[in-house]
Amino acid sequence: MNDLYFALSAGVLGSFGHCIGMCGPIVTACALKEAQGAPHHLLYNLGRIITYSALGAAMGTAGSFVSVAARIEGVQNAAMALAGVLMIVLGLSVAGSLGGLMGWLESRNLGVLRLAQGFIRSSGALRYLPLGLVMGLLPCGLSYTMLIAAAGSGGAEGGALLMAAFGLGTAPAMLLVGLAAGKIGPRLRGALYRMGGALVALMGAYYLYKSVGLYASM
Amino acid sequence: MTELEFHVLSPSSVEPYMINLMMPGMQMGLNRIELVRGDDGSYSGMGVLPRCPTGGRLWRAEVMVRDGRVVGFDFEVR
Repeated sequence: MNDLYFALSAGVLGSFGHCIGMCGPIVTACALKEAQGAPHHLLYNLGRIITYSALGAAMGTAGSFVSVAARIEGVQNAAMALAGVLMIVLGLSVAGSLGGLMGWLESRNLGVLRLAQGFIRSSGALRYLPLGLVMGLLPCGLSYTMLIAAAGSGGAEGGALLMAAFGLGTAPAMLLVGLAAGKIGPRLRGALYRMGGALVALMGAYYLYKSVGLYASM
Repeated sequence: MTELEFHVLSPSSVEPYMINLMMPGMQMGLNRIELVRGDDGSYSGMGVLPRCPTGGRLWRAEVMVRDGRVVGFDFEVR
């Protein structure tokens, strides 16, 4: 029980300094693009928590962070690349005036780009669940530390519960960012709104650059 | 990422029992390594430094001593 309390606290305390900087831009990008209600954000966070729990179960079963982390490193980098592309596409479509660059990107016919566009063109809150499932795989130092603890939890159940508590702890900060960005988004008009889109696209490019760098270092 | 062995050498009157690994300026959670005293009088334990995707390389190891003192060491990883 103490471990779960520790994991929940680590999630709450860590999320305001860490998750807002790392996952916040993705949530903000989605909120700038379309009006979202609480269900969108709850489903996104549920997706993240499910992925964290599955990773925790895997760590608890293996009893070793290093061996599982080595196996999922490629998948995590792919998730980061997808996040980057999604942010670029969302950012450019919000920025509007950068349509030429958007056209150039579309001409590349990349699988990851099609995935991102499929997400944007579909509608409904339910698609935020798979988005959260994928984003839970983002390489993240804070979740790595919790996964080290999950590996030492003694089993799949303990690891899954620990990571679920951690994910639950990070949810309030992410909900706050998403709902706040959703409220601010429609009020931002003109150049300021387009600048926000361009900024999100730039951050997406940074994510993409980092994911390529992480692949190179594997 | 690989598991690393951490060694602490200390005077006999000082009894370290834990290392707290952290990144200055980046919240990385509680990453603690329990230290065990070896036959030679040194203390050691196994731990992992998770790679931060932001590219940060500066880490701090805080060695916690039984009398309540905490000694910090900054180091860079490649």
